[in-house]
Amino acid sequence: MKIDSGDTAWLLVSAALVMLMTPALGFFYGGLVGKKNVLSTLTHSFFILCLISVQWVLWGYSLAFSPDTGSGLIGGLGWVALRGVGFDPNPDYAATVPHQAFMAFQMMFAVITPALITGSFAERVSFKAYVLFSLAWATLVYDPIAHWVWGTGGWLHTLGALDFAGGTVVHISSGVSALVAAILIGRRLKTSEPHDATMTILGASLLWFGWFGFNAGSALAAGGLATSAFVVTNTATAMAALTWLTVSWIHKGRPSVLGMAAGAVAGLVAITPASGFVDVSGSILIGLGAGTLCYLAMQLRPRLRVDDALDVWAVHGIGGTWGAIATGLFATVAINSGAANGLFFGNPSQLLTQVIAVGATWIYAAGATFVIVKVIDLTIGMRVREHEESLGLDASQHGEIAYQLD
Amino acid sequence: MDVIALVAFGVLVVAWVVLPLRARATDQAVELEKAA
Repeated sequence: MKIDSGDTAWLLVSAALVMLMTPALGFFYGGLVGKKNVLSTLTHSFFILCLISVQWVLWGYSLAFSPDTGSGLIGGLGWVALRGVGFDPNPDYAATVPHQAFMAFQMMFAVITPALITGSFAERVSFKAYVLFSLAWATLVYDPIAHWVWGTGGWLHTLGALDFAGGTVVHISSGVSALVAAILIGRRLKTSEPHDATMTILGASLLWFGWFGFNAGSALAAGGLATSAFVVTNTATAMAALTWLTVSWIHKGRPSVLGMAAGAVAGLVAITPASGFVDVSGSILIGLGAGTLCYLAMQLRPRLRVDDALDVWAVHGIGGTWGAIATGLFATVAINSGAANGLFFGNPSQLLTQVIAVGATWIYAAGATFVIVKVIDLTIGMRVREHEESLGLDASQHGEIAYQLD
Repeated sequence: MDVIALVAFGVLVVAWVVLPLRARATDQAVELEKAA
């Protein structure tokens, strides 16, 4: 099989763009926490970049993408430590790029997904518990769900579920897990106000930039489909940011700047599963829905008394769910002839398939996360002690502080 | 779908023109200026 240099260059650049998203997430989250917990929040993203980079090449990629074990649930161990993952293309995944380039691109998805969850338990979880949780979650939740949806022989892949860049695999899995983790770990002793909105805006901007690699890179080739994914990603994101700002203006009387940033992220999340299947009008409706639904979901937090500190469930869980369902509504073969039409284009069965994929991901992610958090809590404990939480995690967990202002 | 998308964007544009900025926002700005 012949390697295409243009496709390979695009995929490697896309992998680098997606890599940037994880530290960008750290900045997005870091601005939203109190100033005693900035470094720990940044570390939650940066450390995972390191941790999962190693986990992925050792066993994560094999569990997610190596040939199915026969159940449709998990890949085998044949590709452990990248044995057999070389420089020839693997036509099952990407026929024109080296297999290792595809692996590296997927690695960055595996990296950011557990990092998304950390926003829910910010400012109160011990570093040791976070490390164990992230490693266990990546292995027991992310790798299987990635196999279900994207792996050869995965059961949702076989069923025909459409998820171009990770609405179910990345966003529903992390968003639902975030909610479960927040419930089990409990509320912070004292909630914080965002200590640096500028940091959050910077993080959101870098996330938007990196997301072009996430979605347009998922075309796995430099061509028309990547271009379409790029355009609808930008359009849905802009529409969601505008919608969130407007809804918050109607609700609270002022156009919220942080709301606009959160709306942009909600739009990025929602367009992710649909980005290779919908046209521009579909992307505008997806952005409109994301800005509205995620804002409403965020208003539920104080009523539910669940301390999902940085609203991971509202943005990623609900945004991902809307995006996956909307894919079943707005997908069209005019954009991607290798996929399927959605309800609005005469194929209602695709909507049912999307609902099954969403439901399965919600149930499995919630159940597995419950077990992981409970086991860690019963052994080494998830939370820091009260005086450590009061002191802040930067000082109590890392012995450093973010700002020397004197 | 094209018409719905166009109408949705139009509604947002109209909203930005007609929505009032609550007085409290202005008061806050004055307070922030004083503090600075």
